[in-house]
Amino acid sequence: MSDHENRLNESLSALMDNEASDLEIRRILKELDAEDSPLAVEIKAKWRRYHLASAAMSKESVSAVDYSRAIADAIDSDDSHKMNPLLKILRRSGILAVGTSLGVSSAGPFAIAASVALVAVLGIQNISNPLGETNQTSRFAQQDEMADEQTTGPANQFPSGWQVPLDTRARTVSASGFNGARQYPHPIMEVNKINKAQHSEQEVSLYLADILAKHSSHAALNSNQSMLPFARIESHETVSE
Amino acid sequence: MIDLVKKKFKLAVIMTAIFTCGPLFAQQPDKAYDLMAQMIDASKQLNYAGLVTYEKLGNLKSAKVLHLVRDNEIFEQIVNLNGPEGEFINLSEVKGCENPSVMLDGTSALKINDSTYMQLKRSYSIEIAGSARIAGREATLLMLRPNDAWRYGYVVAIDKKSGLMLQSVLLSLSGKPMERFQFVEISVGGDLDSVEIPSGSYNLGVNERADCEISDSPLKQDAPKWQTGWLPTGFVMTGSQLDRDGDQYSMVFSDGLAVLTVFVESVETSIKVPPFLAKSGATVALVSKVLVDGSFITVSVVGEIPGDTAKRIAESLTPLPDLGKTP
Repeated sequence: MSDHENRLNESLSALMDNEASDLEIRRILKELDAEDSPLAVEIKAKWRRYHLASAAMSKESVSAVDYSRAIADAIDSDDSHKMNPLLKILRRSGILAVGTSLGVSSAGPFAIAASVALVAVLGIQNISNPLGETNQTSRFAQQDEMADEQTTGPANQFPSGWQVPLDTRARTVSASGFNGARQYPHPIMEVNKINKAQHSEQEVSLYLADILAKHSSHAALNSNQSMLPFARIESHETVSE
Repeated sequence: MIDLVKKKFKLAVIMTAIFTCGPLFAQQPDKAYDLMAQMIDASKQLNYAGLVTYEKLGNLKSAKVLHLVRDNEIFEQIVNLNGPEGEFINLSEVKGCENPSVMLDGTSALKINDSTYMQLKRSYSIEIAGSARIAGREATLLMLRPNDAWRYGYVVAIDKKSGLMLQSVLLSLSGKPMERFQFVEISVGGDLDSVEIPSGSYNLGVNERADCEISDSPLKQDAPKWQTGWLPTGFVMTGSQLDRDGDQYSMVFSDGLAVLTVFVESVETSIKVPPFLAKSGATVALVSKVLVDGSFITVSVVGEIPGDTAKRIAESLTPLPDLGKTP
């Protein structure tokens, strides 16, 4: 790839990020003037791909249809764009009094420029959002909120910090409610529905504490992680009861 | 003449041995290996005491720990400093503990060896991830990434001086921390090397003298009664036992870091316990039912593993055909 091509590519991605200097924009436009040069075709294709990717990332609808030709034709056929800027100034200053009303002719290009800027700003916000990870400390806090939410009813009988959905609530997984706290939908366990009246909560709680404690001492012997498994045990009183 | 043939044969055997073990030896200079080995040795040989924090689901727990090694006995004590008062004591006899674990060498402590490391390497990719300062000491960070989605990853910090593990962070499948165990203060050796093991101050609980102490009872390695049809790669059984009253059969599996325990209950206990799923931080407890000879048997899978793993293991559990009666 030649230096020129490299520079063009850089300019193009700068323009995509809305950070291109006037010089860079002019460089691209100049290249595009040579309508059918291979480079111009490539730039156009690249520009389209960049936008496609950005639309896909921000979950906008993606279309494979190329409107650029049609838009260019439409602009070409618009009289206000064909006017020589010098003529415009002269006309506005009253030296030349010809043709269409002033309002339309000046609002046209301005509106296009403004809408391009708006799209660029929105686009950038949408792209940067999913990448902006919240830090780890807040993750811990968010998990806590969820834990509180799930610890309802009989679950409160269990050692602190334990969530026990006794009857499996088949919930539809929706990420929207949690505002990103759970990015990965939790698998729903297929646990047979049970008749709660048959089982004493106390017994279930004791059973849980018992198997947890036994597991922890097995883990201490086998996990190679020194005393960490013991730290996991919630409360020992429950175990020895 | 025969001697010469023998010699040649020996040489051939040795050469073959060297070539087949070549890849194993090649792993030896691995720095991550040295650190893992150092960490495990240190935790079985050193006397240390300190303060630790354990954090999960936004809750912080602090505890005082004491770890003493005397005459093949490891005394471990952990005292809760906040929340409900509690003390946990574990005394394991290193010698004579016939746990047929791949992690255990015949004579004494838990030791890392080539096969353990290869096993670990099959399940995790291990690499050094810089250094950190923990409990006022310089530590090396070791990153253990799981090679599949059946287990969690870890970041452990290993003390440069003593080789002890100063921090362990367990990471969820999406890479978010789920629990963090960390020393805030630690003292190694010194006076601790001559301190007596506190005795009599504790009453016997379920966990005391776990596993090894009861090795003279029918508890150690009992004939397998149940089997798993599926386990994540790298997990091997490190022990199985039938409890004193013979009404709970348990099997322990480990991949070198993650440990999971499978419990099979008696018919009597099974009636009392409904199926449920409980989760806390990284620990999952899945209690489910298996129909055996017309009665539902409760089987439980407990471990620091993803829920899906526990579920798949629970579903694959079957009683061994030669089982006379359910435990």
